[in-house]
Amino acid sequence: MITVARARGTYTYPSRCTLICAMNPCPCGNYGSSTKACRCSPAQIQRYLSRISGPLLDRIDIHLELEAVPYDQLTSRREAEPSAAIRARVNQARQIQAARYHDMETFCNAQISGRLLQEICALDRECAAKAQQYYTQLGLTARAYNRILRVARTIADLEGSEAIRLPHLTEAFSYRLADGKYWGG
Amino acid sequence: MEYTQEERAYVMLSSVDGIGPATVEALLQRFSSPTEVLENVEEAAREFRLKEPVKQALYQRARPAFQEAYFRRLDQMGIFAVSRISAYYPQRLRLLSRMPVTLYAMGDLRLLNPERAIAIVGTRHPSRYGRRMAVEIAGDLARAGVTVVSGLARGIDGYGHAGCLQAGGDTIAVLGSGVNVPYPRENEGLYREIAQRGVLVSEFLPSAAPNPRHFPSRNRIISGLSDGVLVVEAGERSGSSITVDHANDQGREVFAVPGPADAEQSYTTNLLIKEGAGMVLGAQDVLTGMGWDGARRKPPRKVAEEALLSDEEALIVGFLREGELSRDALYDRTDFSMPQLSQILMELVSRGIIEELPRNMYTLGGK
Repeated sequence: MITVARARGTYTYPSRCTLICAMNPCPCGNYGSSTKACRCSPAQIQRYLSRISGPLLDRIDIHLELEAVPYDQLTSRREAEPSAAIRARVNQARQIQAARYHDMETFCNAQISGRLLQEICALDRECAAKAQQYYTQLGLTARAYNRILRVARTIADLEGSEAIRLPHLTEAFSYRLADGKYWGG
Repeated sequence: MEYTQEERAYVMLSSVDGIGPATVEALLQRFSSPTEVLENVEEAAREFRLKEPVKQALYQRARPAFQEAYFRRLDQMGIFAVSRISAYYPQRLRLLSRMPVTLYAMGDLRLLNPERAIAIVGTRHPSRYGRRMAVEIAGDLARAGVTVVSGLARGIDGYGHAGCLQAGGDTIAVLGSGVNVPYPRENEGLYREIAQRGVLVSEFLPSAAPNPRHFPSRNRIISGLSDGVLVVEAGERSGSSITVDHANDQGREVFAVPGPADAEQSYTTNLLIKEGAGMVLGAQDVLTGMGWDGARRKPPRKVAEEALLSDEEALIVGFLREGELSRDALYDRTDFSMPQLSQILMELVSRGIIEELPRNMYTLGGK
Protein backbone atom coordinates (compact mmCIF):
# COMPACT_ATOMS: atom_id res chain seq x y z
CA MET A 1 0.00 0.00 0.00
CA ILE A 2 1.12 3.51 -0.72
CA THR A 3 0.00 6.39 1.42
CA VAL A 4 0.20 9.90 0.04
CA ALA A 5 -0.17 12.77 2.51
CA ARG A 6 -1.17 16.18 1.15
CA ALA A 7 -2.58 19.34 2.72
CA ARG A 8 -6.12 18.43 1.77
CA GLY A 9 -6.00 14.95 3.11
CA THR A 10 -4.36 11.58 3.15
CA TYR A 11 -5.04 8.95 0.54
CA THR A 12 -4.15 5.33 0.68
CA TYR A 13 -3.92 3.33 -2.51
CA PRO A 14 -3.57 -0.41 -2.79
CA SER A 15 -0.25 -1.15 -4.42
CA ARG A 16 2.02 -4.09 -5.08
CA CYS A 17 5.03 -4.00 -7.28
CA THR A 18 7.75 -6.23 -8.58
CA LEU A 19 11.00 -4.34 -8.83
CA ILE A 20 13.33 -5.44 -11.58
CA CYS A 21 16.42 -3.31 -12.06
CA ALA A 22 19.81 -3.55 -13.73
CA MET A 23 23.17 -1.90 -13.28
CA ASN A 24 26.75 -2.11 -14.50
CA PRO A 25 29.57 -3.24 -12.25
CA CYS A 26 31.45 0.04 -12.83
CA PRO A 27 31.26 3.18 -14.98
CA CYS A 28 33.00 1.59 -17.98
CA GLY A 29 31.18 -1.72 -17.59
CA ASN A 30 34.25 -3.95 -17.78
CA TYR A 31 35.02 -4.45 -14.11
CA GLY A 32 35.32 -8.16 -13.41
CA SER A 33 35.64 -9.16 -17.05
CA SER A 34 38.40 -11.65 -17.70
CA THR A 35 39.24 -10.42 -21.17
CA LYS A 36 38.44 -6.71 -21.24
CA ALA A 37 40.37 -4.25 -19.11
CA CYS A 38 38.48 -2.01 -16.74
CA ARG A 39 39.49 1.62 -17.03
CA CYS A 40 37.97 2.73 -13.75
CA SER A 41 39.93 3.56 -10.63
CA PRO A 42 39.02 1.71 -7.43
CA ALA A 43 37.63 4.97 -6.07
CA GLN A 44 35.39 5.36 -9.13
CA ILE A 45 34.09 1.81 -8.80
CA GLN A 46 33.49 2.34 -5.11
CA ARG A 47 31.56 5.54 -5.80
CA TYR A 48 29.54 3.89 -8.53
CA LEU A 49 28.55 0.87 -6.47
CA SER A 50 27.79 2.92 -3.38
CA ARG A 51 24.84 4.44 -5.21
CA ILE A 52 23.08 1.25 -4.13
CA SER A 53 23.31 1.14 -0.35
CA GLY A 54 23.74 -2.15 1.52
CA PRO A 55 20.31 -2.02 3.20
CA LEU A 56 18.63 -1.41 -0.16
CA LEU A 57 20.57 -4.26 -1.75
CA ASP A 58 19.54 -6.48 1.14
CA ARG A 59 15.88 -5.96 0.19
CA ILE A 60 16.42 -7.22 -3.35
CA ASP A 61 15.79 -10.98 -3.31
CA ILE A 62 17.53 -12.18 -6.41
CA HIS A 63 20.88 -10.89 -7.67
CA LEU A 64 21.93 -12.21 -11.05
CA GLU A 65 25.05 -11.44 -13.05
CA LEU A 66 24.70 -11.38 -16.81
CA GLU A 67 27.45 -11.50 -19.38
CA ALA A 68 27.51 -9.84 -22.77
CA VAL A 69 25.87 -12.13 -25.32
CA PRO A 70 28.23 -13.22 -28.11
CA TYR A 71 26.95 -12.67 -31.64
CA ASP A 72 26.65 -16.33 -32.55
CA GLN A 73 24.30 -16.85 -29.66
CA LEU A 74 22.14 -13.95 -30.79
CA THR A 75 21.70 -15.63 -34.13
CA SER A 76 21.70 -19.18 -32.84
CA ARG A 77 18.97 -21.47 -34.12
CA ARG A 78 19.01 -23.32 -30.83
CA GLU A 79 15.67 -22.74 -29.20
CA ALA A 80 15.61 -21.26 -25.75
CA GLU A 81 12.66 -22.18 -23.57
CA PRO A 82 9.68 -20.33 -25.04
CA SER A 83 7.93 -17.73 -22.91
CA ALA A 84 4.68 -19.66 -23.21
CA ALA A 85 6.22 -22.65 -21.44
CA ILE A 86 7.59 -20.42 -18.72
CA ARG A 87 4.21 -18.77 -18.32
CA ALA A 88 2.57 -22.16 -17.91
CA ARG A 89 5.08 -23.07 -15.22
CA VAL A 90 4.56 -19.79 -13.39
CA ASN A 91 0.78 -20.16 -13.55
CA GLN A 92 1.05 -23.65 -12.17
CA ALA A 93 3.17 -22.42 -9.28
CA ARG A 94 0.66 -19.65 -8.65
CA GLN A 95 -2.13 -22.20 -8.54
CA ILE A 96 -0.21 -24.31 -6.03
CA GLN A 97 0.18 -21.21 -3.91
CA ALA A 98 -3.46 -20.20 -4.33
CA ALA A 99 -4.51 -23.65 -3.15
CA ARG A 100 -2.13 -23.51 -0.22
CA TYR A 101 -3.41 -20.11 0.92
CA HIS A 102 -7.08 -20.61 -0.10
CA ASP A 103 -8.49 -19.82 3.32
CA MET A 104 -6.12 -16.96 4.09
CA GLU A 105 -5.77 -13.36 3.09
CA THR A 106 -2.50 -13.97 1.33
CA PHE A 107 -2.17 -15.64 -2.02
CA CYS A 108 1.54 -15.91 -2.69
CA ASN A 109 4.79 -16.76 -0.89
CA ALA A 110 5.97 -13.18 -0.72
CA GLN A 111 3.06 -12.16 1.50
CA ILE A 112 3.04 -14.75 4.23
CA SER A 113 3.63 -13.65 7.78
CA GLY A 114 6.64 -14.59 9.86
CA ARG A 115 4.74 -17.16 11.88
CA LEU A 116 3.34 -18.88 8.83
CA LEU A 117 6.77 -18.78 7.24
CA GLN A 118 8.15 -21.27 9.78
CA GLU A 119 5.37 -23.68 8.92
CA ILE A 120 5.21 -23.31 5.17
CA CYS A 121 8.93 -23.02 4.57
CA ALA A 122 9.84 -25.74 7.03
CA LEU A 123 13.24 -27.28 6.38
CA ASP A 124 14.20 -30.87 6.99
CA ARG A 125 17.25 -31.57 9.05
CA GLU A 126 19.66 -31.70 6.12
CA CYS A 127 18.39 -28.40 4.72
CA ALA A 128 18.42 -26.74 8.13
CA ALA A 129 22.05 -27.68 8.66
CA LYS A 130 23.01 -26.29 5.25
CA ALA A 131 20.99 -23.15 5.82
CA GLN A 132 22.89 -22.53 9.02
CA GLN A 133 26.22 -23.12 7.27
CA TYR A 134 25.43 -20.78 4.36
CA TYR A 135 23.88 -18.12 6.56
CA THR A 136 26.94 -17.94 8.80
CA GLN A 137 29.57 -18.22 6.10
CA LEU A 138 27.99 -15.70 3.77
CA GLY A 139 27.41 -13.28 6.63
CA LEU A 140 23.74 -12.71 5.79
CA THR A 141 21.16 -10.64 7.64
CA ALA A 142 17.99 -12.01 9.24
CA ARG A 143 15.98 -10.14 6.59
CA ALA A 144 17.93 -11.77 3.80
CA TYR A 145 17.42 -15.21 5.37
CA ASN A 146 13.72 -14.58 5.64
CA ARG A 147 13.53 -13.78 1.98
CA ILE A 148 15.75 -16.65 0.95
CA LEU A 149 13.23 -19.04 2.51
CA ARG A 150 10.42 -17.52 0.42
CA VAL A 151 12.51 -17.73 -2.73
CA ALA A 152 13.35 -21.36 -1.94
CA ARG A 153 9.64 -22.09 -1.41
CA THR A 154 8.86 -20.53 -4.77
CA ILE A 155 11.57 -22.51 -6.55
CA ALA A 156 10.10 -25.67 -5.02
CA ASP A 157 6.62 -24.63 -6.21
CA LEU A 158 7.92 -24.04 -9.71
CA GLU A 159 9.14 -27.62 -9.72
CA GLY A 160 5.89 -28.85 -8.21
CA SER A 161 7.72 -30.12 -5.15
CA GLU A 162 5.79 -30.53 -1.92
CA ALA A 163 8.78 -29.84 0.31
CA ILE A 164 11.73 -27.48 0.01
CA ARG A 165 14.65 -29.68 -0.94
CA LEU A 166 18.34 -28.95 -0.78
CA PRO A 167 18.73 -27.87 -4.44
CA HIS A 168 15.91 -25.36 -4.01
CA LEU A 169 17.45 -23.93 -0.90
CA THR A 170 20.92 -23.80 -2.42
CA GLU A 171 19.67 -22.00 -5.50
CA ALA A 172 17.92 -19.42 -3.34
CA PHE A 173 21.14 -18.81 -1.41
CA SER A 174 23.17 -18.55 -4.61
CA TYR A 175 21.18 -15.45 -5.62
CA ARG A 176 22.78 -13.65 -2.68
CA LEU A 177 26.43 -13.91 -3.67
CA ALA A 178 26.79 -10.66 -5.62
CA ASP A 179 26.60 -8.63 -2.45
CA GLY A 180 29.86 -9.96 -1.01
CA LYS A 181 31.63 -10.01 -4.36
CA TYR A 182 31.06 -6.41 -5.33
CA TRP A 183 30.04 -4.50 -2.24
CA GLY A 184 31.89 -6.56 0.35
CA GLY A 185 35.26 -5.93 -1.31
CA MET B 1 70.90 14.24 9.62
CA GLU B 2 74.38 15.76 9.40
CA TYR B 3 75.55 16.97 6.01
CA THR B 4 79.08 17.95 5.01
CA GLN B 5 79.62 21.30 3.31
CA GLU B 6 80.19 19.47 0.06
CA GLU B 7 76.97 17.48 0.35
CA ARG B 8 75.04 20.64 1.07
CA ALA B 9 76.46 22.28 -2.02
CA TYR B 10 75.41 19.30 -4.19
CA VAL B 11 71.90 19.40 -2.75
CA MET B 12 71.68 23.17 -3.27
CA LEU B 13 72.92 23.03 -6.82
CA SER B 14 70.54 20.28 -7.83
CA SER B 15 67.56 21.94 -6.13
CA VAL B 16 67.50 24.73 -8.74
CA ASP B 17 64.76 24.35 -11.30
CA GLY B 18 66.61 24.43 -14.64
CA ILE B 19 69.76 22.66 -13.50
CA GLY B 20 69.51 18.98 -14.30
CA PRO B 21 72.07 16.20 -14.02
CA ALA B 22 73.62 17.15 -17.38
CA THR B 23 74.18 20.79 -16.38
CA VAL B 24 75.67 19.71 -13.06
CA GLU B 25 78.00 17.44 -14.99
CA ALA B 26 79.08 20.31 -17.24
CA LEU B 27 79.51 22.74 -14.36
CA LEU B 28 81.72 20.29 -12.52
CA GLN B 29 83.92 19.90 -15.60
CA ARG B 30 84.62 23.58 -15.39
CA PHE B 31 84.61 24.19 -11.61
CA SER B 32 86.33 21.88 -9.18
CA SER B 33 83.32 21.40 -6.89
CA PRO B 34 79.70 22.47 -6.37
CA THR B 35 80.88 24.81 -3.58
CA GLU B 36 83.09 26.45 -6.15
CA VAL B 37 80.07 26.94 -8.43
CA LEU B 38 78.06 28.60 -5.67
CA GLU B 39 80.99 30.91 -4.97
CA ASN B 40 81.26 31.93 -8.63
CA VAL B 41 77.67 32.29 -9.74
CA GLU B 42 78.34 35.25 -12.01
CA GLU B 43 81.02 33.42 -13.94
CA ALA B 44 79.03 30.19 -14.15
CA ALA B 45 75.95 32.02 -15.39
CA ARG B 46 77.93 33.79 -18.09
CA GLU B 47 79.85 30.78 -19.34
CA PHE B 48 76.90 28.42 -19.34
CA ARG B 49 74.37 31.03 -20.49
CA LEU B 50 72.15 30.34 -17.48
CA LYS B 51 68.83 32.19 -17.54
CA GLU B 52 68.25 35.01 -15.11
CA PRO B 53 65.90 33.11 -12.73
CA VAL B 54 68.40 30.27 -12.55
CA LYS B 55 71.17 32.70 -11.72
CA GLN B 56 69.07 34.34 -9.01
CA ALA B 57 68.21 30.93 -7.55
CA LEU B 58 71.93 30.11 -7.38
CA TYR B 59 72.69 33.36 -5.58
CA GLN B 60 69.95 32.58 -3.12
CA ARG B 61 71.32 29.09 -2.48
CA ALA B 62 74.83 30.42 -1.90
CA ARG B 63 73.60 32.23 1.22
CA PRO B 64 74.30 30.33 4.48
CA ALA B 65 70.95 31.43 5.96
CA PHE B 66 69.03 29.90 3.03
CA GLN B 67 70.95 26.65 3.35
CA GLU B 68 70.41 26.57 7.10
CA ALA B 69 66.65 26.98 6.67
CA TYR B 70 66.48 24.44 3.82
CA PHE B 71 68.14 21.65 5.75
CA ARG B 72 66.26 22.46 8.94
CA ARG B 73 63.00 22.08 7.01
CA LEU B 74 64.13 18.70 5.67
CA ASP B 75 64.96 17.54 9.20
CA GLN B 76 61.57 18.66 10.46
CA MET B 77 59.79 16.74 7.70
CA GLY B 78 61.90 13.62 8.27
CA ILE B 79 63.34 13.84 4.77
CA PHE B 80 66.93 12.93 3.93
CA ALA B 81 68.74 14.53 1.03
CA VAL B 82 70.98 11.82 -0.37
CA SER B 83 73.40 13.46 -2.75
CA ARG B 84 75.70 11.71 -5.17
CA ILE B 85 78.63 11.86 -2.75
CA SER B 86 76.64 10.49 0.20
CA ALA B 87 77.56 7.04 1.45
CA TYR B 88 73.89 6.12 1.15
CA TYR B 89 73.58 7.09 -2.52
CA PRO B 90 72.63 3.94 -4.47
CA GLN B 91 75.78 2.39 -5.87
CA ARG B 92 73.78 1.03 -8.81
CA LEU B 93 72.86 4.55 -9.92
CA ARG B 94 76.44 5.82 -9.66
CA LEU B 95 77.40 3.58 -12.53
CA LEU B 96 74.75 5.04 -14.83
CA SER B 97 74.71 8.36 -16.62
CA ARG B 98 72.16 11.11 -16.17
CA MET B 99 71.12 9.94 -12.77
CA PRO B 100 69.78 12.44 -10.23
CA VAL B 101 72.41 14.39 -8.29
CA THR B 102 70.23 14.33 -5.23
CA LEU B 103 67.61 11.79 -4.15
CA TYR B 104 65.20 12.74 -1.41
CA ALA B 105 64.36 9.82 0.83
CA MET B 106 62.25 8.83 3.82
CA GLY B 107 62.65 5.62 5.78
CA ASP B 108 65.64 3.33 6.13
CA LEU B 109 68.48 4.69 3.96
CA ARG B 110 70.48 1.49 4.27
CA LEU B 111 67.92 -0.21 2.04
CA LEU B 112 69.07 1.92 -0.91
CA ASN B 113 71.98 -0.44 -1.45
CA PRO B 114 70.50 -3.92 -1.30
CA GLU B 115 72.47 -7.00 -2.19
CA ARG B 116 69.82 -8.13 -4.66
CA ALA B 117 67.01 -6.04 -6.08
CA ILE B 118 64.21 -6.78 -8.56
CA ALA B 119 61.74 -4.21 -9.87
CA ILE B 120 58.15 -5.43 -10.12
CA VAL B 121 56.13 -3.22 -12.43
CA GLY B 122 53.00 -3.31 -14.57
CA THR B 123 49.61 -1.97 -15.42
CA ARG B 124 47.48 0.20 -13.18
CA HIS B 125 44.51 -1.97 -14.12
CA PRO B 126 45.58 -5.55 -13.52
CA SER B 127 43.36 -8.61 -13.73
CA ARG B 128 42.88 -10.77 -10.69
CA TYR B 129 45.52 -13.06 -12.13
CA GLY B 130 48.00 -10.19 -12.37
CA ARG B 131 47.31 -9.15 -8.84
CA ARG B 132 47.75 -12.68 -7.56
CA MET B 133 51.02 -13.16 -9.42
CA ALA B 134 52.42 -9.80 -8.29
CA VAL B 135 51.67 -10.50 -4.63
CA GLU B 136 52.89 -14.07 -4.78
CA ILE B 137 56.11 -13.47 -6.69
CA ALA B 138 56.99 -10.40 -4.62
CA GLY B 139 56.45 -12.42 -1.44
CA ASP B 140 58.59 -15.32 -2.65
CA LEU B 141 61.35 -12.96 -3.80
CA ALA B 142 61.26 -11.23 -0.42
CA ARG B 143 61.59 -14.59 1.32
CA ALA B 144 64.62 -15.32 -0.87
CA GLY B 145 66.18 -12.10 0.43
CA VAL B 146 65.51 -9.98 -2.66
CA THR B 147 64.53 -6.32 -2.29
CA VAL B 148 61.46 -5.38 -4.33
CA VAL B 149 61.61 -2.03 -6.15
CA SER B 150 58.57 -0.34 -7.65
CA GLY B 151 56.78 2.95 -8.17
CA LEU B 152 53.88 2.79 -5.69
CA ALA B 153 51.43 3.29 -8.57
CA ARG B 154 48.03 1.70 -8.31
CA GLY B 155 47.77 -1.81 -9.68
CA ILE B 156 50.80 -4.07 -10.07
CA ASP B 157 53.24 -1.64 -8.43
CA GLY B 158 51.21 -1.51 -5.24
CA TYR B 159 50.65 -5.28 -5.18
CA GLY B 160 54.39 -5.86 -5.60
CA HIS B 161 55.17 -3.63 -2.61
CA ALA B 162 52.37 -5.18 -0.58
CA GLY B 163 53.37 -8.78 -1.33
CA CYS B 164 56.93 -7.97 -0.31
CA LEU B 165 55.94 -6.28 2.94
CA GLN B 166 53.56 -9.11 3.82
CA ALA B 167 56.48 -11.51 3.57
CA GLY B 168 58.55 -9.23 5.80
CA GLY B 169 60.86 -8.14 2.97
CA ASP B 170 62.63 -4.88 2.13
CA THR B 171 61.08 -2.64 -0.46
CA ILE B 172 61.99 0.61 -2.24
CA ALA B 173 59.26 2.86 -3.62
CA VAL B 174 60.32 5.42 -6.23
CA LEU B 175 57.79 8.24 -6.36
CA GLY B 176 56.77 10.57 -9.17
CA SER B 177 55.90 13.23 -6.63
CA GLY B 178 57.82 14.81 -3.76
CA VAL B 179 58.91 12.11 -1.32
CA ASN B 180 56.61 13.55 1.37
CA VAL B 181 53.57 13.49 -0.91
CA PRO B 182 51.59 10.22 -0.73
CA TYR B 183 50.16 9.33 -4.12
CA PRO B 184 47.90 7.77 -5.32
CA ARG B 185 45.33 7.98 -2.60
CA GLU B 186 44.48 4.30 -2.48
CA ASN B 187 48.12 3.49 -1.70
CA GLU B 188 48.41 5.87 1.24
CA GLY B 189 48.42 2.99 3.69
CA LEU B 190 51.25 1.34 1.75
CA TYR B 191 53.08 4.67 1.61
CA ARG B 192 53.05 4.93 5.39
CA GLU B 193 54.10 1.33 5.84
CA ILE B 194 57.02 1.74 3.44
CA ALA B 195 58.11 4.90 5.29
CA GLN B 196 58.22 2.73 8.43
CA ARG B 197 59.65 -0.52 7.12
CA GLY B 198 61.15 0.28 3.74
CA VAL B 199 62.41 3.36 1.99
CA LEU B 200 60.69 5.97 -0.18
CA VAL B 201 62.76 7.93 -2.71
CA SER B 202 62.13 10.66 -5.20
CA GLU B 203 64.30 12.75 -7.48
CA PHE B 204 61.73 15.56 -7.26
CA LEU B 205 61.85 18.32 -4.68
CA PRO B 206 59.96 17.73 -1.44
CA SER B 207 56.27 18.67 -1.63
CA ALA B 208 56.27 18.50 -5.46
CA ALA B 209 52.79 17.54 -6.64
CA PRO B 210 52.43 14.25 -8.55
CA ASN B 211 52.88 14.98 -12.23
CA PRO B 212 52.23 12.36 -14.91
CA ARG B 213 55.05 13.89 -16.96
CA HIS B 214 57.42 12.90 -14.16
CA PHE B 215 56.44 9.25 -14.26
CA PRO B 216 58.48 8.12 -17.29
CA SER B 217 61.60 9.75 -15.80
CA ARG B 218 60.90 8.06 -12.49
CA ASN B 219 60.89 4.71 -14.31
CA ARG B 220 64.59 5.01 -15.20
CA ILE B 221 65.33 5.14 -11.48
CA ILE B 222 63.17 2.09 -10.79
CA SER B 223 65.13 0.03 -13.30
CA GLY B 224 68.40 1.70 -12.30
CA LEU B 225 67.99 0.68 -8.66
CA SER B 226 67.33 -2.92 -9.66
CA ASP B 227 69.33 -5.84 -11.05
CA GLY B 228 66.36 -6.98 -13.12
CA VAL B 229 62.89 -5.80 -14.06
CA LEU B 230 59.86 -8.09 -13.91
CA VAL B 231 56.73 -6.97 -15.79
CA VAL B 232 53.71 -8.82 -14.40
CA GLU B 233 50.95 -7.46 -16.66
CA ALA B 234 51.05 -4.58 -19.13
CA GLY B 235 48.69 -3.52 -21.87
CA GLU B 236 49.53 -2.23 -25.31
CA ARG B 237 50.54 1.34 -24.44
CA SER B 238 52.06 0.96 -21.06
CA GLY B 239 54.50 2.87 -18.87
CA SER B 240 56.07 -0.50 -18.24
CA SER B 241 57.47 -0.49 -21.78
CA ILE B 242 59.40 2.64 -20.84
CA THR B 243 60.80 0.92 -17.78
CA VAL B 244 61.80 -2.02 -19.98
CA ASP B 245 63.55 0.32 -22.46
CA HIS B 246 65.51 1.87 -19.59
CA ALA B 247 66.32 -1.59 -18.24
CA ASN B 248 67.73 -2.59 -21.62
CA ASP B 249 69.80 0.62 -21.86
CA GLN B 250 71.08 0.11 -18.34
CA GLY B 251 71.98 -3.53 -18.92
CA ARG B 252 69.34 -4.91 -16.56
CA GLU B 253 67.69 -8.30 -17.04
CA VAL B 254 64.09 -8.18 -18.25
CA PHE B 255 61.49 -10.72 -17.16
CA ALA B 256 57.79 -11.04 -17.86
CA VAL B 257 54.89 -13.12 -16.58
CA PRO B 258 52.94 -14.74 -19.44
CA GLY B 259 49.17 -14.32 -19.68
CA PRO B 260 46.28 -15.35 -21.92
CA ALA B 261 47.03 -14.59 -25.58
CA ASP B 262 43.86 -12.55 -25.92
CA ALA B 263 44.06 -10.61 -22.64
CA GLU B 264 44.59 -6.89 -23.04
CA GLN B 265 46.62 -6.71 -19.84
CA SER B 266 49.07 -9.33 -21.08
CA TYR B 267 49.71 -7.78 -24.49
CA THR B 268 53.10 -6.29 -23.63
CA THR B 269 54.23 -9.07 -21.33
CA ASN B 270 53.53 -11.79 -23.90
CA LEU B 271 55.27 -9.69 -26.54
CA LEU B 272 58.32 -9.24 -24.30
CA ILE B 273 58.57 -13.00 -23.86
CA LYS B 274 58.28 -13.48 -27.61
CA GLU B 275 61.12 -11.00 -28.04
CA GLY B 276 63.34 -12.87 -25.59
CA ALA B 277 62.53 -11.64 -22.09
CA GLY B 278 62.83 -14.32 -19.41
CA MET B 279 59.51 -16.06 -18.90
CA VAL B 280 58.57 -16.08 -15.24
CA LEU B 281 56.06 -18.54 -13.81
CA GLY B 282 57.25 -18.01 -10.27
CA ALA B 283 59.92 -16.26 -8.21
CA GLN B 284 62.26 -19.17 -8.80
CA ASP B 285 62.50 -18.29 -12.49
CA VAL B 286 63.75 -14.83 -11.54
CA LEU B 287 66.31 -16.23 -9.12
CA THR B 288 67.52 -18.74 -11.71
CA GLY B 289 67.55 -16.11 -14.46
CA MET B 290 69.68 -13.84 -12.32
CA GLY B 291 72.00 -16.71 -11.37
CA TRP B 292 71.08 -16.34 -7.72
CA ASP B 293 71.29 -19.77 -6.03
CA GLY B 294 69.14 -22.64 -7.15
CA ALA B 295 66.35 -23.94 -4.94
CA ARG B 296 63.73 -26.01 -6.75
CA ARG B 297 60.51 -24.58 -8.10
CA LYS B 298 57.73 -24.58 -5.57
CA PRO B 299 55.09 -27.17 -6.45
CA PRO B 300 51.60 -25.79 -7.07
CA ARG B 301 49.58 -25.33 -3.91
CA LYS B 302 47.36 -28.19 -2.82
CA VAL B 303 43.82 -27.62 -1.74
CA ALA B 304 43.93 -28.23 1.99
CA GLU B 305 40.55 -29.88 2.30
CA GLU B 306 41.00 -32.07 -0.73
CA ALA B 307 40.59 -35.28 1.23
CA LEU B 308 37.15 -34.16 2.38
CA LEU B 309 35.74 -33.55 -1.08
CA SER B 310 33.03 -35.70 -2.58
CA ASP B 311 33.67 -37.12 -6.05
CA GLU B 312 31.54 -34.41 -7.65
CA GLU B 313 33.28 -31.66 -5.74
CA ALA B 314 36.70 -33.09 -6.53
CA LEU B 315 35.82 -33.05 -10.23
CA ILE B 316 34.98 -29.33 -10.12
CA VAL B 317 38.06 -28.52 -8.06
CA GLY B 318 40.11 -30.45 -10.61
CA PHE B 319 38.84 -28.29 -13.46
CA LEU B 320 39.44 -25.11 -11.52
CA ARG B 321 43.00 -26.10 -10.77
CA GLU B 322 43.74 -25.33 -14.41
CA GLY B 323 42.45 -21.80 -13.98
CA GLU B 324 39.35 -19.70 -13.57
CA LEU B 325 36.24 -21.02 -15.26
CA SER B 326 32.74 -19.69 -15.69
CA ARG B 327 29.66 -21.53 -14.52
CA ASP B 328 28.73 -22.18 -18.15
CA ALA B 329 32.17 -23.57 -18.94
CA LEU B 330 31.90 -25.96 -16.00
CA TYR B 331 28.43 -26.93 -17.16
CA ASP B 332 29.79 -27.76 -20.62
CA ARG B 333 32.56 -29.90 -19.19
CA THR B 334 30.45 -31.99 -16.85
CA ASP B 335 27.24 -33.99 -16.99
CA PHE B 336 25.67 -32.16 -14.09
CA SER B 337 22.33 -30.44 -14.46
CA MET B 338 22.47 -26.72 -13.80
CA PRO B 339 20.78 -27.09 -10.37
CA GLN B 340 23.22 -29.87 -9.45
CA LEU B 341 26.16 -27.80 -10.56
CA SER B 342 24.91 -24.74 -8.70
CA GLN B 343 24.56 -26.77 -5.58
CA ILE B 344 28.08 -28.15 -5.77
CA LEU B 345 29.50 -24.69 -6.46
CA MET B 346 27.52 -23.16 -3.62
CA GLU B 347 28.77 -25.82 -1.25
CA LEU B 348 32.40 -25.31 -2.28
CA VAL B 349 32.04 -21.52 -2.05
CA SER B 350 30.52 -21.65 1.39
CA ARG B 351 33.38 -23.84 2.60
CA GLY B 352 35.92 -21.42 1.21
CA ILE B 353 37.44 -24.03 -1.11
CA ILE B 354 36.57 -22.09 -4.21
CA GLU B 355 35.72 -18.45 -4.67
CA GLU B 356 32.92 -17.00 -6.77
CA LEU B 357 34.23 -14.03 -8.75
CA PRO B 358 32.38 -11.33 -10.61
CA ARG B 359 30.76 -12.43 -13.88
CA ASN B 360 29.88 -15.94 -12.70
CA MET B 361 33.52 -16.99 -12.70
CA TYR B 362 34.99 -19.43 -10.23
CA THR B 363 38.52 -19.92 -8.99
CA LEU B 364 40.27 -21.97 -6.34
CA GLY B 365 40.04 -20.13 -3.05
CA GLY B 366 42.67 -19.65 -0.40
CA LYS B 367 44.48 -16.34 -0.53
